[in-house]
Amino acid sequence: MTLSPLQPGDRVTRNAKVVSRWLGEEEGAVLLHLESGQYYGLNRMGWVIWNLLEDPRTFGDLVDDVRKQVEDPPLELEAEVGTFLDSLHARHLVEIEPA
Amino acid sequence: MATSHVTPSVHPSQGTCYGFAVRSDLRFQYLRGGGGDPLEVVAGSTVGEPAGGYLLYEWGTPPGQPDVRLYQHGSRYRLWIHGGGSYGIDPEAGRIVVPADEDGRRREQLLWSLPSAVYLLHRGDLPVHSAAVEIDGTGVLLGAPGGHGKTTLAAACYQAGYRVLSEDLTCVRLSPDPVIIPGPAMLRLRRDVLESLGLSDSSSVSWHGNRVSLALDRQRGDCRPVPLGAMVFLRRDADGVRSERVRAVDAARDLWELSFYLPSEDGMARCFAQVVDLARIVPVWNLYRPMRVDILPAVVALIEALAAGHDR
Repeated sequence: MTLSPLQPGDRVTRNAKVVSRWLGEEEGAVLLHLESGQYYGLNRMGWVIWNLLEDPRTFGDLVDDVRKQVEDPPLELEAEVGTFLDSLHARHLVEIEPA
Repeated sequence: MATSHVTPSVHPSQGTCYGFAVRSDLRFQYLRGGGGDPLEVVAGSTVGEPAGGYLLYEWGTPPGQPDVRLYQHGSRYRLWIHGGGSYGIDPEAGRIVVPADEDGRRREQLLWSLPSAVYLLHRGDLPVHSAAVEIDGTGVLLGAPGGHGKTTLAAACYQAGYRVLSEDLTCVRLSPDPVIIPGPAMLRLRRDVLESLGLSDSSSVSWHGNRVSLALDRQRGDCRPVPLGAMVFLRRDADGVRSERVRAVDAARDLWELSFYLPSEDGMARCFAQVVDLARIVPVWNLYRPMRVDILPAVVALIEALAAGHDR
């Protein structure tokens, strides 16, 4: 179910059937898919992206916003975010609508 | 909201369980002292579905052969237990209707299990499939799937002089600080465990096959909340007794598996939030030990250390 490479205009939306909770700096956060009952952990960076997806946004806007929130963002930031979104999508935690 | 009809009556409080002051004409064996929110327990006809109710959930092994069915009608519930009859749960009215034709001792044991769990959820508490004990004023939750020795360990703690707060279903309240609300003063043990421990200060209530139900006569206390200081997941290990701290992210997953929730999105989301917050606030430990009675004193000593905040 890989959609990579994501295009800047692809629209990313959180699955409304997923709930989340922050644990702390060291432990990150956890997600629960309410329909499957599957449980997932997110690290701090994953949590930043998950929070930015509180409102649906395009992949391009999301990468720009992540870049603003990260000190010394790496050159491969866009690829990292794309890979992360692919993994969320494969687990039905987000929906991706092609541009 | 209309409630199911029962004949109006007034009952003295017989005692408490899970913070409820039980008012009933029925006889109870496992209640504690003190006061609480009134809960009326009446015997009645609870056959069939409540009018307009719908099947909320069913559990069964194997699938298709349900052991338990839960129906909901507004804020009322009806819980059907295979071989145990039906329980009508009406939190708005502060009432549970129990089957009139069931054996009273077994009926009380069932009452303080799933029917109470449904009521506790409605009250906003978190019911957890676990035992719990009080060690020097600190509540320790002992979590494990069935058959992993949590009741035996609770009995060993009782034998060592500590209060048993719950045997199989623990009521946890998170706000303002995590606490345990004591459940029934009861232990159900295998015959060999009973004989090995030689439990004193307890009354044998009934036998079911190889298991005895004990009413705990010492240190019943009341249902005032006990601060929850540690959660311990019991693990089997042949090599000895040891503990390790569990990361909150892993603890929340294990705790989720042991928690009761109503199978609605709201119910699951609320339980999930409580479970994660609990795992974040309260220290969680894995406790590894052989499943042997002779090792129990060492396990109790480790529980004492964890309750006191020490790792070993």
